[in-house]
Amino acid sequence: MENTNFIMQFLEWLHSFDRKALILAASAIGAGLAMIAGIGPGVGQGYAAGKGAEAVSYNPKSSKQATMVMLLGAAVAETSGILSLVIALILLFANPLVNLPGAALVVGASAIGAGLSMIAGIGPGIGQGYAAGKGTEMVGKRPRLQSAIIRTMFLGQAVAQTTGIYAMIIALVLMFANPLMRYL
Amino acid sequence: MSVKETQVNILIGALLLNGFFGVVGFFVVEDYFPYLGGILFGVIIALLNFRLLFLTLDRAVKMPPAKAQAYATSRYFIRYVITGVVVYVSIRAQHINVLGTILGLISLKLVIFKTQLFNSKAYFKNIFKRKEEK
Repeated sequence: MENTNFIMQFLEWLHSFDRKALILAASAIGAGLAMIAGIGPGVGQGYAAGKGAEAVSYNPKSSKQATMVMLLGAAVAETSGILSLVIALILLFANPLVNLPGAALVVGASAIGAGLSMIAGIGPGIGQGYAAGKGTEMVGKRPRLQSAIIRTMFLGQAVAQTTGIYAMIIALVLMFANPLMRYL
Repeated sequence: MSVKETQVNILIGALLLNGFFGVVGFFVVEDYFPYLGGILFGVIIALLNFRLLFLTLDRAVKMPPAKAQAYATSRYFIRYVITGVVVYVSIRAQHINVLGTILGLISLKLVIFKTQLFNSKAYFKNIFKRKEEK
């Protein structure tokens, strides 16, 4: 009777490929997955800009202050996009996994895992953009409280960035100091 | 503080911080000049991107909110592609160290946090002060 276990069939099929080809294919998937994080800052900055436009239309006098808060908030919101871009480009052009000894399947899966972990960058991107938007809105409404609002906004943004940095650490560990290789 | 002043402060801060990274790198990094080149490349692009962000948002605030949202998002992706090209070039080019470039690109965010968040000791003292102490 033919083997009907499709997972086994899939794994056997994967093993029919050259080791290097398998790792490179996994790296390509990983790089693509990492780039998904680029959505986060895009949505976040868009939200901030929308709130900025709202704030200026409520109170045109506070236009300069609102733009300044939005500019700084949006610049910080971009960070996780840059981090994911770096991981994706390392996977594509400076791949440390290609020459790593060990089972091709584990190395390939690590490449996909590195890319997958960077998806976490969506969170900080949207969250920081949201904070920037709300900060801008409130500076538009109450320009006098600008310095307190800015400081609170950045404190929130700095905290929101943490998970993005955790994700990047995991991605870098999977690529450059893979602990899974010890168990092989 | 006006928008222009803020931008100038951040420009000065970014140059100072990257100057510091450059000096530290002289003692830590083996191949120094590619690293310095990377930092220079990264910080120049980060500053230009920051300026581009200002120009985008300056226009966006004068638009209706929904249109501003779409405009800012589309412009973000243009800047994202620029950053991608920069990191790609520094990975490819032998005379530019990619770590230096990344440091240069990220340094601007650190400067923003330094100039806007960690600029008042009293604020942080108040966070940890118990209300009963008043």
